[in-house]
Amino acid sequence: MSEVYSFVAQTLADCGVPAKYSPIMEMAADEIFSNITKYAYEDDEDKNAKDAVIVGLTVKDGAIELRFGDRGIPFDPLSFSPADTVSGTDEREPGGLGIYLTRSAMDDARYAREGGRNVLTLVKFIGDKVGDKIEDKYRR
Amino acid sequence: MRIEKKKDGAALMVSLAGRLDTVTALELEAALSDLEGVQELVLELGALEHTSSAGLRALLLLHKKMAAQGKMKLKNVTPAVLDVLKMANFTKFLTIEA
Repeated sequence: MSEVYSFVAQTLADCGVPAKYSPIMEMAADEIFSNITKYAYEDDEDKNAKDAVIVGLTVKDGAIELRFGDRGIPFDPLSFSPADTVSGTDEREPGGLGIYLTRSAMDDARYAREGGRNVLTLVKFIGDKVGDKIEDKYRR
Repeated sequence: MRIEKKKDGAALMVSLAGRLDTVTALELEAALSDLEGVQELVLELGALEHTSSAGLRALLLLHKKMAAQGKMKLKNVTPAVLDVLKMANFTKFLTIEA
């Protein structure tokens, strides 16, 4: 998990993304990564394979795109019913809260099953400041 | 994450610094597994930067435990953590103090 955090934090910093976006992206990574390691694989051997979970991050056009890919059981987290945030503490069912929080914190989320992998893409808009910086680079 | 405990009679003050995530939420649960005799649990969260759903789950467990034997309150909640508490509607049942 700490490896995923440092990847996310470092890549965001390398791309010139303001530091304030780092915690929210790291938390999203925590939610999704822990869900995958908990539920995607039934078999320990598959779970520990090198490409069991692949995390990718792109910053372009004023948005951060955080991607997760796994070879696990086909599962679309976006189809998951929203977490129960209304009931009292005794009636609440655990689960679903992580997905709910992640979706609330992000501006867009997409799921696809591609070539035997679950691919989840989270998008966070950060305005055009970073985009401007890239544009400046091209102009030079 | 850093967890500091200070006991004063039946009151337990716990300061959390860093962030509550999948890993550190378990550390918190372990650190506070024994609340025998505690009637007031104060969580000092001024240095807690963020929490994930795992952290919320830990807070919910503590809340339930304390509801049965006393009270629990959260102090100095940071804006980022408050956002998450609001999103999950935890502000409805948690006692939050400035």
